[in-house]
Amino acid sequence: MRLLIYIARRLLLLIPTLLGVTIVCFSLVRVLPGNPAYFILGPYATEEDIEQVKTELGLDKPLYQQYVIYLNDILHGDLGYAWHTSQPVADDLKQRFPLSIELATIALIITLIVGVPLGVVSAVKRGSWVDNVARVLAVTGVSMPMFWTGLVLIYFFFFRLRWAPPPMGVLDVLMERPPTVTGMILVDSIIAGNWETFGSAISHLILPAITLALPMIGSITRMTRSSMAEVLHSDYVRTATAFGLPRRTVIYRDALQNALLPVVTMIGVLYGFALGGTVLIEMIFGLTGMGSYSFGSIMNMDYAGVQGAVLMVAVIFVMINLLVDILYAFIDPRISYG
Amino acid sequence: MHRKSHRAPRVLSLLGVAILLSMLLPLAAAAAPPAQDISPVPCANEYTTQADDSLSKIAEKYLGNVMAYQAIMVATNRMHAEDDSFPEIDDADAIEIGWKICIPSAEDAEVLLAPPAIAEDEADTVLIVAVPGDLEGWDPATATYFTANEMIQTLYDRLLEYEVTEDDQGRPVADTTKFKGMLAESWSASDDGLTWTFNLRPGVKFSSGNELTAADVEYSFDRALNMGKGIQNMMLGFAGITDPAQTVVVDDYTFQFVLEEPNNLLLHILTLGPNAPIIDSKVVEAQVTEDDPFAEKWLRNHVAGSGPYILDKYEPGNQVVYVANENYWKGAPELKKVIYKTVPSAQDRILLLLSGAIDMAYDVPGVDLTTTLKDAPGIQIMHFPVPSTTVFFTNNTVAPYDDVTVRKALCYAVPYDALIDKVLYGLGTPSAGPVANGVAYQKDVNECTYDIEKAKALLAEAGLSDGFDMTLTYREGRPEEEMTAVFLQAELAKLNINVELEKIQTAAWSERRSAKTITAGLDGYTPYAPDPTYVMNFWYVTDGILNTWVYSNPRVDELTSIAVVEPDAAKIQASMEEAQDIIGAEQPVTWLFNPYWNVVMGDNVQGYVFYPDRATRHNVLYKD
Repeated sequence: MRLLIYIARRLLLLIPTLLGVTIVCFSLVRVLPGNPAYFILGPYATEEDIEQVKTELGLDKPLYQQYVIYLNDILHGDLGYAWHTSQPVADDLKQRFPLSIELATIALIITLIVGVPLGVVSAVKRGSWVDNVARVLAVTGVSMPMFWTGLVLIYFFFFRLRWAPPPMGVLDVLMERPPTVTGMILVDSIIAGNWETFGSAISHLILPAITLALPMIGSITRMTRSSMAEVLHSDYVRTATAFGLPRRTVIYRDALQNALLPVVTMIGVLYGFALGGTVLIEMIFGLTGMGSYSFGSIMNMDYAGVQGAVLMVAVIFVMINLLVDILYAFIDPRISYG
Repeated sequence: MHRKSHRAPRVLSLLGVAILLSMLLPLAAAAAPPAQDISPVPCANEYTTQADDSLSKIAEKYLGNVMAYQAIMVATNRMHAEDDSFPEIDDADAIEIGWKICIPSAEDAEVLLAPPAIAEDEADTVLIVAVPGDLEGWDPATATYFTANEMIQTLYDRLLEYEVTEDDQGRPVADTTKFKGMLAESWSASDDGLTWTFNLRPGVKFSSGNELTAADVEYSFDRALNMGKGIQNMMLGFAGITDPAQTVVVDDYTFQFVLEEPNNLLLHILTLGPNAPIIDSKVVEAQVTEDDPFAEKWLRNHVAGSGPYILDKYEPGNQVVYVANENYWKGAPELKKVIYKTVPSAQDRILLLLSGAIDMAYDVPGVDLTTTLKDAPGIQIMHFPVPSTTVFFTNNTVAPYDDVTVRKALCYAVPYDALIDKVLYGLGTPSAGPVANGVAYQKDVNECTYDIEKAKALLAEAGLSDGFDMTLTYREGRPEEEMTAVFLQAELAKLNINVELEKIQTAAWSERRSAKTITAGLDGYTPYAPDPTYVMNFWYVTDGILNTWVYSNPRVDELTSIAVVEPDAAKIQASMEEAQDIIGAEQPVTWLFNPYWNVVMGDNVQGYVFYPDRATRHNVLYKD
């Protein structure tokens, strides 16, 4: 019951949070120099054309009025019309978002599979070669810029070795998409039972996912290691060891489970990082998700597109963090939700 | 406490199991690709044809799409195979009253309309082109961006086109002095040069199946004129067509333009790939709404044309796919599919090209054209001289640039050879003046060379030997302009001119250019029609829309308006040469260089023909 009240309260808190997001991104795009009307009409526009388009877009109205109109539209489920793709923003999001979600999710999964065990082993066997390798990996992973790792991976795995497919799109060029159900290519392939597109999509997503995962692996390894080290020094672990419990049991049953608590919190933060990282990753790997959409919208001064994309990312990020907090309630009884 | 905390790893282990399962799935799948399905689809509706019915009308009524007539045809024919009460339809145009027609559901229709997937071994009939960015809508009346222009050129036809000749290297190029009929079989002008009659090619069909008639030609031009905005409207204005009353349908296959005075640009404008396409009036009018009287929203991402290719798929930010128009009046194109892939990274485009994964790449940096890609196996690079001119401009009305001596000084301070060598990597030629080589009546009027002593003397003459401050503005995402700016900064420092570089976003650039508030900057221009009046009208007459340098000379304006209407070639030449002389003497801008148009393709792609609008004619390409 208390948990339900907590969830309800958190959901209510979403309203001011998202309102804040709308204000920030609404004003940010308008602070950028330049007016979209010039962009829409291209270099040959006359002054009258520009004025006409400004009126069509509502840009001739004062800012606060524009904001009220924008807010009113959102509340009615209308995210506006993206001129640079010539379709409603809602349609753009429907087409583009699933791919970024898939990419971020795969990257997160890779991060957890590689990062957590590496962190645990480094903590347990401090100073061992595993610890040293993990430290080097973590530092390089975090410090190498993603566009560079991405290009290097493309160069070796696509251009030299020909293991990876060409970095353009998520499917082979002549492949047809399976019928859209969720919009996520992997899920849709499974639903359609089309393993050809599934395999192609996986092979197109694996390099970008690794590129995105590398810096995250670095931070999660260090995080797991320090948290594990702390727990290993705690009283209850010492007590358990003193009682003569086997070391394996102490580490993997008693210590690990508590050490992983902060890691669960990290998942929410990392997911946000992964979604943000898709901007660069998608540009490098020629993928068309949210990242390349946001970029395209910004470059084309497409206010509606930028606002829609930012709002969507914010909603997802907030939801994931809510989910993580609720998950926490289940796994850590110390937390009360008063 | 321990008991409860078991759940954290449990969540993770569940995740792990899910991942393992998903990795195993592809192994379990050994499914063969689905075979071509020809079984009947259920009829969502059955319909009995009546007088005056046509399949496309029925398709529009039931499926909301005239193109779906093909789906109805296929569905009915498949039913016919099982049930004799359905007729067999051979020709969509020949249906009889009282036929029982099978109308599939909208979803089934979509499946039926989808073209069969092309097998791998047919890859040599597919052309894959990597482009850096999105297409920004391709309504022919308003589209101004290059990729959209190219697309319009491929999906629509025009009344006229240029003949093809060979350049000095034996490569096929457009001959901009000779016209030939495209949708017009023949044309003629009245003796006073005011009435132009175009006899249309009969039997040309739009991809909707509608026949192209003079009504469509009239609609195409009237639409742009009535919109009262956009590039097509402006181009028609250059050709002396400003009022829908000037477009006349004589009969189904005869169309006339009635001019108020003779015009030398008319035929050129009518050949322009992006700016004179003939659109399917019936299809477009069906999309007109009260808010959108010209169906602008619809035409931005749909096509109603008769060109050699038909738009198959548009996935914003990912790809645009065209399929060959098998009924094209010139004959079906060799390449059956053209795929434009968005690949934002230039490095990726180069790797893709080198690996053979794509056939053609746009926007490849000059440094790669002259190093990595040069002599690379499987790659061909062609450089075409185009009338593109890159300029270093200053606002002619702002001090000290309102003094011609100062402008001349700037002009003599530019290291021309170094720019061509280091910025263009040799892929360009020195500029001859406002009108570039390749445009009719071109005259070499650029007196400037790199002579810093002369520049100093000129500046001293203007009383500015102590120099001044200059803000040099250029656009983001244009590495060539950035390098040029750095060169100019270094050279102008020798004249004590302190140059501050200002890089701004394209949107901000457009706004400031339009407001004419850039005092010094870098820009470039390319006339699509190789006529000097076109150059003058856009860039050098007083109210020229792209006269960013705010140059004004009444005599140049006058000479331009004379040359546009003058029938006598010798007089045109005289007036245009005089205009160029004036501009050369007044030096409104510094002409830096003429960059080449670089075409980069796999060496198995043959048949490329260069046109001054730079758009690729996909229907003449083939793979060897």
